[in-house]
Amino acid sequence: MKTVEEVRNDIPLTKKCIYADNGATTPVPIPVINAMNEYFLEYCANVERGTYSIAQKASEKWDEARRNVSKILLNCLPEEFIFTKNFTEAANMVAYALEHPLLNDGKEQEPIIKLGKGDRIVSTIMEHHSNFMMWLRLAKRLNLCFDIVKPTNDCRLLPELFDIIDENTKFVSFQHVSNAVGTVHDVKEIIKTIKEKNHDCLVFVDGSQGPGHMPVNVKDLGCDFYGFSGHKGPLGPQGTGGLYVKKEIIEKMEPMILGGGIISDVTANGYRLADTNSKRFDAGTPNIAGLIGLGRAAEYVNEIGLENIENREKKLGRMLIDGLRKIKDIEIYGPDDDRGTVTFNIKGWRSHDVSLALDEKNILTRAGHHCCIPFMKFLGIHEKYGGNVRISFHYYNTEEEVKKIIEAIGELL
Amino acid sequence: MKTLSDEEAEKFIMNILREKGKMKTGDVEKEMEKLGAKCPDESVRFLSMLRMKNKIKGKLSVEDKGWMWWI
Repeated sequence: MKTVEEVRNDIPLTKKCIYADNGATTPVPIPVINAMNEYFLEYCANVERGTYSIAQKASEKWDEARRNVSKILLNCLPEEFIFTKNFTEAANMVAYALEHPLLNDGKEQEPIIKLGKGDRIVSTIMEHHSNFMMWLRLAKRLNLCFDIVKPTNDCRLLPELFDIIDENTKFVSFQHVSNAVGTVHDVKEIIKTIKEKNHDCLVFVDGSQGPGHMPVNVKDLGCDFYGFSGHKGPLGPQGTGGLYVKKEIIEKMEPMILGGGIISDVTANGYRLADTNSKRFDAGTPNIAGLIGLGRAAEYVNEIGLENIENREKKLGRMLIDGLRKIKDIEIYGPDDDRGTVTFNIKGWRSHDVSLALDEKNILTRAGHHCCIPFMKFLGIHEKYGGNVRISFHYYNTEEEVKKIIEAIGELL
Repeated sequence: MKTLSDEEAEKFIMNILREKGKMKTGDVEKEMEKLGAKCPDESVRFLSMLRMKNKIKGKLSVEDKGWMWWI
């Protein structure tokens, strides 16, 4: 287990400011940067192509990264794991594949799921735009019903709210953790409810705020798809992410992008995609250094211990909630659970004004709608406050930093 | 609501601050909304960027519950 001080030494930015915007992106630890530098300096070659030694080393490291990321962050097999550039791309890949049946060997294959007029897609009002717009477009394009689940007053998605699932519901998408209020939903129980209502209904989970912040086991959750970004909880670089797809579905999944590196043969009349399903989604030269970095980042959070990260974030979040509750004129959003992301507003202040005020004290936070405009409007804080102020922790934040944050917010009143 | 280009928003903000003097972030937003327009970015981020470029001045005012902006 790495200590907090060891991790802070690996992330020099933590010495220069109070970095509390981990829900947006996280600073990258030196060992992850070193892994990427090593690629650039020692074996900077393309993957899956050249026969010379450093090209083979690059391919080996690339495969190792896929094994590490899939196992450590999601507990799935590499064959069920697609590298992406972020969560957004992962969600769009799935939406594309739902609309377009696989074309292989010159023939259109069976679709992942048949979608037609009268069928339903279900999502929730809590989703950020990257887990909302593509489903809305899919529904509009295919003339499907698009139904929205609303949370409880304390912003929870409870399993019983998904009782609306019926035999016509073909696809459900919802978040693991809210980026706008911090709620960690009971994904396993929600999926159980959905599958009890309709076993054939496919479930996509938005893990943007999950892996790297806590242990995630996609097999235990029972989802069909789970997407995430590498540059948030996992402490990887920007431009990296991943998508878990259940084995029997990935075999039928149409790649959104075609090109070199994903085929076994091409003729004038058709093409045959690679037999390894997860490598059908790597067309063109990928972000090799970044994804090798993500592989190292997965090892790094594993060295800290994912449960240790989760417990520490919860402890810091609890300290912050308890401190903010003692300050008058503060509105805190979300349930009274221990959690690593806390959002609030100060009565009379625009959320961005608060964030800019905290920046004066070197406390870095995020304010605004968090790419969740429908949810901000649902909460009635879009016009009133311009969203909310978000403080999101990672393992390297300290109790002393939490005290300084509470003190700084208190000084604004 | 029309999103102004960077140049349009800068021109608008400079003019409104020259005309009205010190203004809060929310008041700048309201003036823009009257014209059916908004900043290309969140208003306070755009205002903050203009401050960093030394085009406008800005200061936190706890009494006014927010940032004040002026030329």
